[in-house]
Amino acid sequence: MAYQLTEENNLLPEHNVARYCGPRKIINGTVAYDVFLLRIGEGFLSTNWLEYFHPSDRQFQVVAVRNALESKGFRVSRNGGFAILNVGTAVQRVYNDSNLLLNFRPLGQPSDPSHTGIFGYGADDTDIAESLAKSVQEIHPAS
Amino acid sequence: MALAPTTTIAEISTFLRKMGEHELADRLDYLASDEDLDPGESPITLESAQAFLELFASVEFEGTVGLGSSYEGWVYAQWSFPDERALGVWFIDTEYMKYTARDKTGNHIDIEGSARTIERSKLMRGLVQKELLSWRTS
Repeated sequence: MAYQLTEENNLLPEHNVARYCGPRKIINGTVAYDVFLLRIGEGFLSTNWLEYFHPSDRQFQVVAVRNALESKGFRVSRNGGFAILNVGTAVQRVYNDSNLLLNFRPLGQPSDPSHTGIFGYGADDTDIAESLAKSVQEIHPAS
Repeated sequence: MALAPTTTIAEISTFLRKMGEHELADRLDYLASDEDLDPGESPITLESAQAFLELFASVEFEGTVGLGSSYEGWVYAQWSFPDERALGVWFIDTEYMKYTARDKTGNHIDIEGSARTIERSKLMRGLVQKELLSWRTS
């Protein structure tokens, strides 16, 4: 069954987001499920919207995300990476696996307009974290 | 190989090396260090590493396992299988673990209802019962 995005502030299925992965969370070249597990008290998982920066140039998008994070004081390790999720693929996979509809929403912060959040799951939802990790389409080096 | 009591992460790494698991030992040493820590992230705790070793030394499995860590300092182990099975375990302490797992058909596995944080002994028995792990015979 195909999902429907009804809220007008959700990212579109064809959009993509990046999630920073520290070196401790890249295991044998793959992303640890832990990258997508919320910490207790977190209401959403932070990501960055790639098409905010450029419609298609992935290298440009990833560099822009790194710069956006660093300009906020976030330390991006040279040995880390960015996991890229396609919104439609990720939402559909989680829906198929767990019958749960996630929302990818722009947060529109002045300090980081590309900041987006994945909403709709909690800190004990390890199955959702695994489904999101399995949806990763590319991993780009952070450096 | 009998599992001797360990009191430091260095002893756990040494035990892994004696098992021939040099890559896991190196990774555990790295996770116990301050290297590459993100702000707010902690090195792995001794209890968590002990819990990982106790599980790892008790079971066999098809495929490979790699290690990472959580912000809280829990050892995180992720298994890759030659089929649809998947397993990720967070070693919270010597009593409790958090997990996610898929069976051979690719469906997520419930071991104690929908709870994903359960007692270590229940999780280990459940993972053997669901054919992700088997008890080590030698």
